[in-house]
Amino acid sequence: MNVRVYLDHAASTPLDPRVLEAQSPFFSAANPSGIHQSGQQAAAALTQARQNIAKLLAVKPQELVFTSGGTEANNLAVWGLAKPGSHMLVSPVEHPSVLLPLERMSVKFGVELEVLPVNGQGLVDPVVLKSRIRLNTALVAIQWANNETGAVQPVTELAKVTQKAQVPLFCDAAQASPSLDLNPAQLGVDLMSLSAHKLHGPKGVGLLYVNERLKLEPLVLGGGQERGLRSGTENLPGIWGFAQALALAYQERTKRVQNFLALTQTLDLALEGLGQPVLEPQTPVLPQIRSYLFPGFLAQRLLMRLDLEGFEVGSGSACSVGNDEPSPVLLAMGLDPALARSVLRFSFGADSRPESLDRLREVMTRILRQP
Amino acid sequence: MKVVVGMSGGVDSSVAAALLVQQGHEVIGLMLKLWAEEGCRDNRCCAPEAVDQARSVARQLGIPFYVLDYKQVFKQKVVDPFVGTYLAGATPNPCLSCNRLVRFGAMMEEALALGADKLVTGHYVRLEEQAGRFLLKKGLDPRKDQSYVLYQLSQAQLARCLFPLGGMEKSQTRALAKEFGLEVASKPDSQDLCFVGDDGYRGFLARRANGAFGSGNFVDTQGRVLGRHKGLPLYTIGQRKGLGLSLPEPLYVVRLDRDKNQVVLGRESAREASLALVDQLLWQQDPGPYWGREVAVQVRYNSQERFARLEPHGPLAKLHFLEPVKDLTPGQAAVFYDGDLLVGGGILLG
Repeated sequence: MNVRVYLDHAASTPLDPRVLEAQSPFFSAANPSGIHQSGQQAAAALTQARQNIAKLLAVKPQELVFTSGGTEANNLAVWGLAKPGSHMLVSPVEHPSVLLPLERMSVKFGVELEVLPVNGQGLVDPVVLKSRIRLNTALVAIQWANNETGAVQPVTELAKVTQKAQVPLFCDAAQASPSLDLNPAQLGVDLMSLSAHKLHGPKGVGLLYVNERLKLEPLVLGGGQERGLRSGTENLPGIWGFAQALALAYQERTKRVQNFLALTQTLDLALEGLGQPVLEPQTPVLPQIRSYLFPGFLAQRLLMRLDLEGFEVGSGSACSVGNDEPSPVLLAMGLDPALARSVLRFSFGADSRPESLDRLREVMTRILRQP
Repeated sequence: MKVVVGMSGGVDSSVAAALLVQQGHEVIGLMLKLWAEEGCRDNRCCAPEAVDQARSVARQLGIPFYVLDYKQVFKQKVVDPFVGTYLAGATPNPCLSCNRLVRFGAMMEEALALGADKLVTGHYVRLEEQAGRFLLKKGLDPRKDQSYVLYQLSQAQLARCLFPLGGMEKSQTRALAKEFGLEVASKPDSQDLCFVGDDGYRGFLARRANGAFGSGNFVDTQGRVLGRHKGLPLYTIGQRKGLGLSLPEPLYVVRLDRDKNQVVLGRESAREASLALVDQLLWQQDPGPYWGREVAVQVRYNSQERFARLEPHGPLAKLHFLEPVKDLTPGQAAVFYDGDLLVGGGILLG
């Protein structure tokens, strides 16, 4: 068996051993709602984790809602602001956990859903956004950065538009979090979702930042945890691990980003002349994600062959097996369906090393020579 | 040797894969995701449960496993022609073209492109090489033999095939699965088409044809009108129930007359025929020695063998059955055998 080189961190990252260590005392924690001392201890740990994360994101602790992951956080943002008869704006390059609830809502609640145009890099123009906002616009949903291409939206400018129009702006920041300094409150982003396992934290935990001025309806009802916005016994080891993973990401950001840049540079060299980057060179992009077109080839077949050679990469979003439909994100960017089917995504994590790409050029050249 | 195993998640292909791993070969598992009608269930050959099952078997065997999307290829090469043939008044068997064009066509190409020497499946058929020719023989377990659905494979395809279960009884396969510790449920063989929904092929065809089945007359063998039918594709040869007629005696569908858009009904005796013409002949063996001789014939999948004299008839073959055969169905394949040896086959004409 070849040495495995994992290059699919945008799908999920391996748990940092330091995070696991920080989590371990909390697997046997009591229910933070308990009146007794064990419960008090758990509640204190929960508060501590919430405060630590709030500090990193420069938001208030009470503005954070812990969820079972990014998908639930996205659903909460969307359903939480559903108003019958309202108008909502969304970019066409969102993750399905944003787009599908919006589509369902528009059918169920008579919400008018309008899809914003994007340019060839998948970016929303703030001027266009401004022109589409109406008096009854209840939400603007635009991701911070794209999960398939890494393209970063002009969040600062977009937020200026929504601030001025006094419309809530929701940014899915799951992919942006490993390399960008996220400060939603400062920029005027009113809702922001994160997922722990995208930055070497545990799976099964995410959060939604909600500006305290906003009133959300909960999705999950029950014991009233998370100020009634997300019932269910808090996942203390998950949340504690999330806090630790986020802290490490902030502490080590400079080092990690440098590593990402070295990796993308090595990758670009390895694939030079073999594939074409999906994004134009000037496009603002996350340093840890690179997507390449391999015209004339099918990504599903390239993925299989790369995997047999030890390189584990992704294509578009990793959500379904044996489904070769072209990615809606790439189609929205104006890519031809056949071309969209040829896209491979390479994504790096803090554990990736440029040396691991040494064999890539030779392997890729060989693979592309096969029928 | 490097091999690709077509895995379905079922006991047969799982044991086939395990045997090749045990023999020390480099094994890669593949499954093709095939098309199924929108809004209905998944294709039964590759439903999510089957994918999960195959993947966990592959994990257990320590082999890589991939699912490739072949929905469009399958739709174009198998489903669309199936619909076309049905609407033209015959009853095709889509498994034949699926095996020739998809499983042993597209999947074979994938296997070769991966550098594999052989494509392995869990079919119960035997393959023997003799003087550079590949002989396709019935599986040793007569109840499980699947050679009928593979008669269309070319020598070039067979040269790259490996059927490790051909010499086994189903019970042996089950015992081996147990021995290998493979926890695979043996799915009952479905008689349904893999790509149609729960309402079967009739509902499927009706939706494909946008309800454009022309209704017409039921007639008896003398051409007397007995009532109205709802469209030829909704009836099968040998059908008695569900005709929507009240008849003084039991009558069966004996013929679908495309030209007159008539469903011909006849008595029990009218179901029988002693002669049949076979078109689109494909030979695994040189037919020369078989002309004028008696061969064993299977006229549909899993059916009892009949004996017939094989005669050339222009580009066709003519079968003279030794005893009359019931419900010969145009569009189905007639496959000829010499003992266990598959000689060739073709499509029954009306």
